[in-house]
Amino acid sequence: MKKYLLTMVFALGFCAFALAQSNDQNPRAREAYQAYEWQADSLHAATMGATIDKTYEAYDPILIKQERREERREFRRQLRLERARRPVFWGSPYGYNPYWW
Amino acid sequence: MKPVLPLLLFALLLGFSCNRQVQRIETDTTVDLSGRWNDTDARLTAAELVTEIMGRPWLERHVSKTGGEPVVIVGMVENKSHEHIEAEVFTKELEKAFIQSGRVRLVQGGEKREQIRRERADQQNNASRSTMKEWGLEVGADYMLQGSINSIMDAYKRKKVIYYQIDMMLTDIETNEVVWIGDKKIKKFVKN
Repeated sequence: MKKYLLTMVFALGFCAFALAQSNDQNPRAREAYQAYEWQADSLHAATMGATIDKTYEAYDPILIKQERREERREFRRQLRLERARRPVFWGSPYGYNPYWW
Repeated sequence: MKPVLPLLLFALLLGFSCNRQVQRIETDTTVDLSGRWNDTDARLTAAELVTEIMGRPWLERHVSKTGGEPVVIVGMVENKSHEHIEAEVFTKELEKAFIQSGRVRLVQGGEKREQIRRERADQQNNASRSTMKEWGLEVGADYMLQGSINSIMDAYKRKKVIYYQIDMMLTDIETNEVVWIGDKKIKKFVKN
């Protein structure tokens, strides 16, 4: 009888140890799930298999030159348009005077 | 009457010189025009990453642990470079390698998955009972493939050196453990 009880105690102890080892999950796993549950929507789906652009602008002297050239061209174009819109501008005897008509 | 002929020839020459020429070339031909990221870079990246991911021990480890093939879902790729780089060009190659090898299973993600779910929802109303597909039977992925693209550019006057680094990683969804990291590095010298 004593031997039988000892075996039972050993078996129960082993089972408890094995259970503790296998059930390694954090007891607050449910809370962790609830924190992320609302994020499993179409917004999450949109990021899957997609390329998210977080590009930066690199310093490129040639590109900077091109941009400046484009800016100058645009400025000259605007100036030409302005002159075409107000031809009397050329008639000013005082050089550039936007208030002279 | 005499000057007509040279004029005609000149006009013909001008006409021919302005013609657009289109030539079909092999898809594995390397053509570098601007020095920016191009199809060759994407192809080289795909080739290296496919070799890397299929030949590393994560695959055998998973099979020996679970007895089945790993299931992978493709996640997000962050482009942190200075150019627009579409990662799908090389992630699709990885997906193709998974499917064709038969050693890795793939589940659909993103907008395509949403479309499939919408179709399944539609079937609940319109398909016959015998052909209607059930909810809640999707295969859950074991791993997620994610990546990032980085670049460094150094330029001086008309010369520049561009360095790209593409990192892809595979993470165990349950344990958060990174089981594989692969990269491809590309360096270019451009002289304008």
